[in-house]
Amino acid sequence: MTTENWQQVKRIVGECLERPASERKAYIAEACGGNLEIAEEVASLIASSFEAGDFLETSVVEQAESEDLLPGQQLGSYQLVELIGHGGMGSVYRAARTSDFRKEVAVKVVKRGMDTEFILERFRQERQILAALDHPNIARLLDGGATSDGRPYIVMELVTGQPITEYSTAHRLTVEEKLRLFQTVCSAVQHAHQNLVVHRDLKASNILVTAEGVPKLLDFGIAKLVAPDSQRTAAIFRLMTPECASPEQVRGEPLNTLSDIYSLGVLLYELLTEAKPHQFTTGDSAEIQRVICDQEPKKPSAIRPLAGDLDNIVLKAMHKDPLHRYSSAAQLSEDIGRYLSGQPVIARRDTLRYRASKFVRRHLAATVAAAAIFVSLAGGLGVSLWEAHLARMQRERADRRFADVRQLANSLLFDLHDAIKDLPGATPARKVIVDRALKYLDRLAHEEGRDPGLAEELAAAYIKVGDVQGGPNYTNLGDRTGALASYQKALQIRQALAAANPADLQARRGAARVYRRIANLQMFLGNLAEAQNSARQALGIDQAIIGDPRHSSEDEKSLARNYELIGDLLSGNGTSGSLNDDRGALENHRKALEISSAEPLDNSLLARYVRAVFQEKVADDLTRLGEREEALRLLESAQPVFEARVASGDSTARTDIALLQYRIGDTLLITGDAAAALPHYRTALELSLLQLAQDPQNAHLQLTAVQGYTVAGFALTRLGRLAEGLASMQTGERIIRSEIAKAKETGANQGALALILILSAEAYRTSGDKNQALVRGNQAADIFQSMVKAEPRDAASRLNLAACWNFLGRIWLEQGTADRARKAFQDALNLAEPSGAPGGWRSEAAKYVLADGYAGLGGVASRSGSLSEAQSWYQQSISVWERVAHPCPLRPDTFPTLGPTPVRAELDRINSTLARQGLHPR
Amino acid sequence: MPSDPKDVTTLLLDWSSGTNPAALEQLMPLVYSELRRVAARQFRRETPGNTLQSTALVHEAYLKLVDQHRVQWQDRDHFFAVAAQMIRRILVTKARERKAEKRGGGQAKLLFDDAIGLPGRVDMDLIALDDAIAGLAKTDEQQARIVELRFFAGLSIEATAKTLGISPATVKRDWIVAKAWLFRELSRGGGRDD
Repeated sequence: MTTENWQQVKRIVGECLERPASERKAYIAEACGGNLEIAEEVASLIASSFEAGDFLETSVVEQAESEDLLPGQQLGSYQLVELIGHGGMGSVYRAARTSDFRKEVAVKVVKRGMDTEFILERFRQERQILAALDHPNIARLLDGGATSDGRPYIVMELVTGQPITEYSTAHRLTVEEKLRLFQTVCSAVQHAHQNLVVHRDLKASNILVTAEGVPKLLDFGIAKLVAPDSQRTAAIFRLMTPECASPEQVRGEPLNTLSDIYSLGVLLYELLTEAKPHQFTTGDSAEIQRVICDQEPKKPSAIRPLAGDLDNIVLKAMHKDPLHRYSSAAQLSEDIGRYLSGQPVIARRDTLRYRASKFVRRHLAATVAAAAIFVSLAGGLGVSLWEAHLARMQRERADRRFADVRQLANSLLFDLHDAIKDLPGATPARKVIVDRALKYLDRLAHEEGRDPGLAEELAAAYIKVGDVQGGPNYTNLGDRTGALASYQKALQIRQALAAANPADLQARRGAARVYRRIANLQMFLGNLAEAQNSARQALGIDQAIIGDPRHSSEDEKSLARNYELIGDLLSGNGTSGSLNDDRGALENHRKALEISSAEPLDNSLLARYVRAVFQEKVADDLTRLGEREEALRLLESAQPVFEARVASGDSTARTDIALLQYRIGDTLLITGDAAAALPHYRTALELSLLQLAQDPQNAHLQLTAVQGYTVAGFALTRLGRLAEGLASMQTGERIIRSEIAKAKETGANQGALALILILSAEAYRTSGDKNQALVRGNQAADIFQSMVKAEPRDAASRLNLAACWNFLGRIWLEQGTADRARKAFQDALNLAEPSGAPGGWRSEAAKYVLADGYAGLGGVASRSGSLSEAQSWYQQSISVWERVAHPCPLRPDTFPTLGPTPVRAELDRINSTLARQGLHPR
Repeated sequence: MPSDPKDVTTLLLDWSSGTNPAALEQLMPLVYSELRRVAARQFRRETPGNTLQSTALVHEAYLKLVDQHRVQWQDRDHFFAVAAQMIRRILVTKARERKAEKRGGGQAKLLFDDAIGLPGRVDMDLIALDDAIAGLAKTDEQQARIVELRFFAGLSIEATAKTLGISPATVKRDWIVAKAWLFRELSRGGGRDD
């Protein structure tokens, strides 16, 4: 290159770096004026200048100065032997214990000139935490101190080895060997994360593999210790290794465990492909930001021959959005384990909701409900780190608030590791964290609430805090009122945003989402009226959005989910209690199905699955209303979708098929066709047992199996095959009693037992064994009574108990103990009446109970000879029956019922008796 | 053994004026040991939190060694340039010696031995850097000098500018480009021994 050209190159490069990043490309193009040689040189030098970082910045003299520690010098109980190397933060020496020279260690002395006071303090505070990291694959922190002139140093386990990528290449490891090595690394990272230590600088050069093949992680948390989050050092760190930086690091945001997961992803990428995931051309920070934050790396399988699943694993770990990455190093390691053993990996599947049968759902109220409510991380140790973090955030200037708030929200979003969840002191610590977070957010909202960009971040943060407060995992410890308050704050912000920007659909979507969250929480708490209110608000917003031509197909899905939610509230699908409006439920569930079946039809498996779920819900509603044909049609058309899911490799879909078969069986049984029901129950039971064999500890599956034995047995008794039927029910009973004996007295288990008792009682009754029937009926009533006591607002429990009373009353009546019978029927009516109150004849199940109750009292009156009283009761019973569109031989939840026919017969008989006695029928 | 200022000054003048080019060889160890002494002294004086000024280091050595009354300001600048060259020459020579000793394998890392006095090790392939700087000098002598002054003598931008008689802005720009160029050279070469 000529001298003139070189001068020009220098000039252009110098100019270019003075300009803001966004203008650089344009300036280069203009200044080089078409001279290719110059342009190439300029670009190359600029890239190189960024990669160079602080190359040559520390002069020889300075480096020599800092090496003031001589071999032989004493530091604490160690004597320095020789200098091993230089790091960005200081120098590393090999040293030996004075008392035992065979014990060699590494001593790291921090570079002079950094903010020593601050660092010393941090060292003191956090050395204990790092010293607690005790893992065979983490270089142990042994000791620490300060030199006589106040420079901090740390003493660590001495590790000799090769960086993991070099080791892997040098030893020509196979893919499997690389993966297993990587899993060891993951377990080390997991250990540190559980102790609330983030590495922040995970890269191949920090992971040495010894000659014996043992990987050792260096510098855990050191990066945090020696690099205060000031702008300058953040900038330096950012530029030093741009390829390894995570999106949040590039943006200058504080880092958390999810950033470590990203780094693990990069490491895995490098291990498997022996190449770096990102390349840079000009190297300016705009490009760095763009490439790392927006550009997807090349798939590993495009570089080396690798299985597609490995692609998915790497890319999930390296996802730009921290929330989409693996939530823990353990999870990443497990997925690799799944790949190695040939199982489907999480990274590829969508996680779909677990569906519980209506029976199981009814009694599992406490564990069902709300959509994604995340749980946050807290541990006793976390408080001090968190406080330091908060204090630091408060010192930042206003223009960093966005990142802070987002980071606040994100850092509350760690999935809980079991070990930390069980830490003593977790709950009070968590409360402290939440309180401080709220204080911070409240203050921010007060000071800067009018800034729309910040406002949205605040709203999101409030929601996350609310999730932490109200999380269902801590049913006894959750602060649900607090959660609602936080959601309300988020709602207010989003409503204000929506009002200020009427054209902005996103703000409205956000408001709808908060309403849904509130609705779910209210549902979970049993405040059904409020839940419905919130759900309707969400619905209103969604409908308005649909009316806007700019709406998307996601909005349609959201609208469908709203209808589903309202339908669930009205029908009692899986909630503790319901608003008992079967027709209303049907209407809403139908709408949900309609919307999701509209053109253009999404035929992906997921969309079809969602439609199948809706179909099941509509079918449930129809069954309750006795409309059997349509119900069966819908149920049968759901089967192929579940089968397709099983075929696609999702074995949990077999449970869906089992539950579907139960439904079909129930529909047939309730409408009086026990013979047709039986084969479906058999199929369902087989599937349940198959699932149970593979996962014997699964409580849900156990209940499903118990249910299978019970209903199959009951169906047999309805067909007159009493011995067989009772035997089957006894099998179910044995299982459930043994579960309860193992001290698993959950509501669901009790409910299951009660159902077995009442159904077998009915079987005994029809076989003539009244005593057994009474014994079991009473036991069932006891259980239902305790359930009603525990959840007085749960309509289903009340109705179950009422049905028990009706059942017992009938037997007592037959045996002649009229007083007991009367009391039983009265109790039943008291329980059932509020549900079926005038003005609200909306629950089919309630109607059955009421009708039976009235009929029962009619029978009592009739037996004692008061015929006109009897007439009046029977008439009331009939008037209830007339409100039942399709009376079925069994109640919607398979409980036996008297049915209208005998009642009509009795009424006719009494009418004619009274007529003969000269009294006119009314 | 304390250096006789007169000696150093004479040697400096001789070399600077061109009368006795060999004077440089004699100057080297004298200047260097003074640099070492000053550095150690400055370090012991250091209170935690203050950064060491390497410009001050070279200044101080200069003040100690050279009789102010006898030299001109150009000579002082010469001194600095000399100091830089000296340090470079010494380090690289040592590095080549060590490399010859090791005979094969690995980067030649330099260990300051007791003769020189400053303990420690510079983690970089000085030989490769030296070659690269020589290459840079072919295209742009000024840049090479800047690198010498900044990296080997640790002079600040301003002091470098003064020594070379150019503007600080030029120094800054040339320095950035030189670093980038050298980094690229070293990355391509891999910095490994052949």
